[in-house]
Amino acid sequence: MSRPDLATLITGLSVLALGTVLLLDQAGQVSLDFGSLAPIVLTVVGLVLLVGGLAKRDGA
Amino acid sequence: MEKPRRPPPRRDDDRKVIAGVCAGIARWLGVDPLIVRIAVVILTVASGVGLPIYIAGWLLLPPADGSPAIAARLRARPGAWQIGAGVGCLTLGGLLTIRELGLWWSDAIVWPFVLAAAGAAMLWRQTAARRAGPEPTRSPRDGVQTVEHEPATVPATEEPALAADERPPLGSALPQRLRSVYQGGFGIALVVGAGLLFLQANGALSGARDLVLAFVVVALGLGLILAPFWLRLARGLRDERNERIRSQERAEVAAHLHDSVLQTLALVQKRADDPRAVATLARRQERELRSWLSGAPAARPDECLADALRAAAEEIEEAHGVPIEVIAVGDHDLDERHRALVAAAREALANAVRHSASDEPIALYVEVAGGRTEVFVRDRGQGFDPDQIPEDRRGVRESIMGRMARHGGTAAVHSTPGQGTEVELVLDD
Repeated sequence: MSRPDLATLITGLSVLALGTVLLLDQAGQVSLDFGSLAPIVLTVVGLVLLVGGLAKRDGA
Repeated sequence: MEKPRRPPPRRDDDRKVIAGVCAGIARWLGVDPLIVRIAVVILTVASGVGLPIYIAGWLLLPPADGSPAIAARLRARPGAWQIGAGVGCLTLGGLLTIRELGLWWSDAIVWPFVLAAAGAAMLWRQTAARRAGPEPTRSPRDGVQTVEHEPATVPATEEPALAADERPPLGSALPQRLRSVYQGGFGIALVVGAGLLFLQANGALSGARDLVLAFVVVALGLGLILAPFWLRLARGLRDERNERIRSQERAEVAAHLHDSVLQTLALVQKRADDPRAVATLARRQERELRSWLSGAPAARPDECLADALRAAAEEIEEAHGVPIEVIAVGDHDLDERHRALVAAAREALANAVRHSASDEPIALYVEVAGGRTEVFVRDRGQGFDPDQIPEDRRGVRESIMGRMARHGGTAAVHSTPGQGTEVELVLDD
């Protein structure tokens, strides 16, 4: 079994966490407004970009 | 008959107003640049798509000087923009999180501070890059393969491609300068913008708003009126600068030809009765001219193995008038062991000149690869039997074989009477 790619793993986990938060919001467990959602989305996008960029640079 | 393919569009730096996209497309289409510019302006005003199209053209079209497009250059630095954007998003996300948690000072202070910090970081980075100087270019002498001292029979058209490639193109520093100005300007704009934002958020600009508005309107109007004159002036200055550079280059070439080639030709005329001296002069001039044309840096015979061997070959060639062809593949620092190698090669060359009894060129071949340095000295002379060397002759035994053995290397002499001699010197790191 091949080892999972770290960049893909972190990207997947980040998107999974975002999806979980959105799901909790939909279920009424948490209440999200723009002020709280924007930092989460920015953090996930930033993490995905950073990990992808670092992986590309190291693989270059 | 096959129709010649039209070259792909490129940005046109000669007729550009902003980035040369419209001028480049106009040249490619064979129409006046004004038509393309009007089309882009209409597309921008009518639907807004003109601006993205222009930006896409700026990113994707290569400039006229043959360097790659901006998008291609970004691809050549994989991950750079993603890392920058990722860090930016994470920073913004972190700031918004802190703000949402209530651990916040004031929008009027933090956001201007963030902008000012970003601008200062860009300025600092640009200043640091300038202090570090331009990226070092690969020197032909540091390259993996350098072939020099080609035989005189090689036509000028077979000059190694390396020579032309290594020479920086005229005006190659311009993109670097533009990038530097852009980064510096952007950083200054961020810092100034942060200051204005801070003043505005704190109400300090309310009194000056009308004055600033009036100033901006007047400046815009003046800019629109004066833009054509300014553009014409800028083009004139650029053309004049290019002409001055060309003129300086012509003067430099003329001066070099006078100092080197014409002087050598005068010497050749004076010594026309001595064919060996004429040949030596011609070869020295050929070497000097090739080195100058290739833009190679000054030789470092005290530091580089290849240069030291070239210097030894030149010295023996000038002393004895026998041509020596040097071919160097790779190079090595000139440490003590490699100095011994140079001395052994020099002795082998001197032996070849003295004893080969041939006017044929002597070949000196050096190759450095995989931690091994190999030097071959070949002549096409009368050859000899290595077993018949008298015991009292110390040239080959001591100066070549003994010296190499003392420094951990090996030396071998391959010779057959009537077929020339080859001396092989090997030194492992």
